Amino acid sequence: MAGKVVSVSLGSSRRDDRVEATFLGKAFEISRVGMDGDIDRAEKMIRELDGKVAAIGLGGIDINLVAKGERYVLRDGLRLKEAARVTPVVDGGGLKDTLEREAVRHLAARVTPPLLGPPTPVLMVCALDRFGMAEALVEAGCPVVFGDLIFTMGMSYPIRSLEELAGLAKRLLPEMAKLPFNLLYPTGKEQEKPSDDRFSAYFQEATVVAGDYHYIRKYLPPEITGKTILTQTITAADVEDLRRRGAAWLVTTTPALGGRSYATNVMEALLVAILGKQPEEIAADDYFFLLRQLGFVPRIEKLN
Amino acid sequence: MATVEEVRESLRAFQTNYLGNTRLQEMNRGWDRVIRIEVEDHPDVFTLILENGELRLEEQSGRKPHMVVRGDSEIVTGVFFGELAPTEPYLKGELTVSGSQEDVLRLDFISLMIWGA
Repeated sequence: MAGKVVSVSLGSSRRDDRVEATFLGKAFEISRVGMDGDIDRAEKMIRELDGKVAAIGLGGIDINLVAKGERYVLRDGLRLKEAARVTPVVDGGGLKDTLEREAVRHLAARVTPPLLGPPTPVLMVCALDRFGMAEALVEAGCPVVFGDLIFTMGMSYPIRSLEELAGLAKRLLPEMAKLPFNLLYPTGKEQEKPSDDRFSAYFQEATVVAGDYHYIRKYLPPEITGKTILTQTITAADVEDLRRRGAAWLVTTTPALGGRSYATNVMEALLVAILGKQPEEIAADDYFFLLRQLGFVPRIEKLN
Repeated sequence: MATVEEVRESLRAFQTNYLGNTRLQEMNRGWDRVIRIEVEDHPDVFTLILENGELRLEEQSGRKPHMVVRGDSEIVTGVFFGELAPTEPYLKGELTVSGSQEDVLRLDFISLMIWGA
């Protein structure tokens, strides 16, 4: 019987999907169920799935945000994690910290010509939800604009160092982490609104645009000729949209399953299911080892 | 219950601390907003006006607000004096803030940048 992995997402149900695949000789059924921004419904769904599936991913919401070793627990994310008593619940954070660092190193050193390097200006739409990727981009020598304030609250203030970002996080997140998550991140129908191009200049200054695709899409300009997009959850329709706007390359940090790149929460839930352990028992090296066994490398697609 | 004078002083303290923070002014340049402060247990209405990164306080302002902040005098005074983080009264419904999602978040941001958590 296939192991079941379910991603319960606060995002739109229009992106729901299901795929069957075999990993290391084990069959898995992987599905994504969108809750259209309804956190109460997500909590109920997790309670129903608890004990019936191998692992649950939390989509469209994080449990923790991390900056320079400081961890900030998001109240709504914790509430959803605690809705399950038996089945492990993960938000992708453990995997982001390994897979996405590795993806950046791959693009800087193992791709010819390299897609990233010291002269490559990067716009990272939000770094606090993937600090590992942010650190890896800086380590690769890229000048990076961190758009956390731009993309969460529409403030035209680019953050240009990890130190400034971590300082702001320390000041703001202990309180902001208590807010309803839909104030901090587009959920449900917010994810389907047309893109607003008021921050086009930040896109134009960058060669690579990295980070969460819902944030990228929120302010995506009509024309992004020659840009590389480094992201994860992306559907076939998103890929066509990027192609129409002129993007040159699409890199997703998770591999394609059934023609789609699933979010890191889905992939982390899958790895947890394969390992058969609780997330707290899994070290970064366990993920690295398993990722190599599975042959997971970034998906790189030439769009134009 | 706080007096009207205490409410006024708290808003002035907020304004003074905002104007003393040049980075905060730079961050908010371009975010021009009229924020009406309604105190439930007093008839007085105050208005904070952000223009070109600068913040001023007006009374009896006739300007149409982009946002309305409403709470009793103790909550409003506590929040603007920085004695009370806005998040908990906001979540309990003791402090209501009407406006767009981004604007509500921005005002919380400004308050945390001035007073911290």
